[in-house]
Amino acid sequence: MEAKGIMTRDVIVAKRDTPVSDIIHLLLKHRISGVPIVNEENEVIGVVTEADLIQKKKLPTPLELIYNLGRYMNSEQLAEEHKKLRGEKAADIMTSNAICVKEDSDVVKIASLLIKKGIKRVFVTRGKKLVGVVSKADILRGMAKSGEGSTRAS
Amino acid sequence: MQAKDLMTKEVITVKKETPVREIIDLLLRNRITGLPVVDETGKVLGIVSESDLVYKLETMLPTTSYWADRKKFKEERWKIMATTAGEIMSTNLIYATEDTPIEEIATLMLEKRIKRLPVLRDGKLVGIISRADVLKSILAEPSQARPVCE
Repeated sequence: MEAKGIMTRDVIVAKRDTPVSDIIHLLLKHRISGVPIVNEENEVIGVVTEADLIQKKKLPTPLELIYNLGRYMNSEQLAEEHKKLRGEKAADIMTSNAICVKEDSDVVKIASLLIKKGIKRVFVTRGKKLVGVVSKADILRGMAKSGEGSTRAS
Repeated sequence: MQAKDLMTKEVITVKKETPVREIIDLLLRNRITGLPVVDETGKVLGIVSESDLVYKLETMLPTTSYWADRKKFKEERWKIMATTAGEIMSTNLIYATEDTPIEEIATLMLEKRIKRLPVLRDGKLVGIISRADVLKSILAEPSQARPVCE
């Protein structure tokens, strides 16, 4: 089984200047945990994940916690942080090294890659262009389907 | 903001005996990435996540590709599909209670690299918080200030 057999081809993407609030809406609407950030040529230049959004500027540092005597932010402070975060752009918070594979990459190898890197998805590229994404859900779907019904000739 | 303000109360759960093929079906159909495993009384025994399943596939499947040894691949696959929730669940349970503050929830999710946190009351499941639930709170405009005098 290869990446191209299980990948999702309609990839939800964002651009460098997509506001953070739009990215959050995309993640929630499509029930995904990350979006690739692409340039005009549809080349992946980064990724924004749920973890990036939860982390960025929202969590008090240990020092801040000590300073606040272990108290968490009050609701006004939290609302202020959230407001700031919503106004930022993809480029401000994205991780700029995304992990990519080719269309003929083996699925078991992709599974290893996801586990080793602690990531939830890899992007599939042809040349430099984004053509798909393989998430853990895609791997499970591929496994649940494979071997059921007819066997394909190799 | 606390766990009880963010959590989803209708939680999809499985039993210890639920086979992997059924778990995969539930995950894909509901577009979720993990499920609590509960007993008859609602006590949480563990969590099964898509990561646990992918890990299981990766460790059980032959390192040769599907095309190189299709028969072996299929046999292994059937074995995996018949495994039960109880055999693969994580029992090292990380959870919140209804009054856990949002910052602590976010910290737990990131430090422990988990995508969901069950919310327990006396060991029983009362809700679940996903990373998406935490994201929703970022979008939410602050609720109107409470009147100071009542």
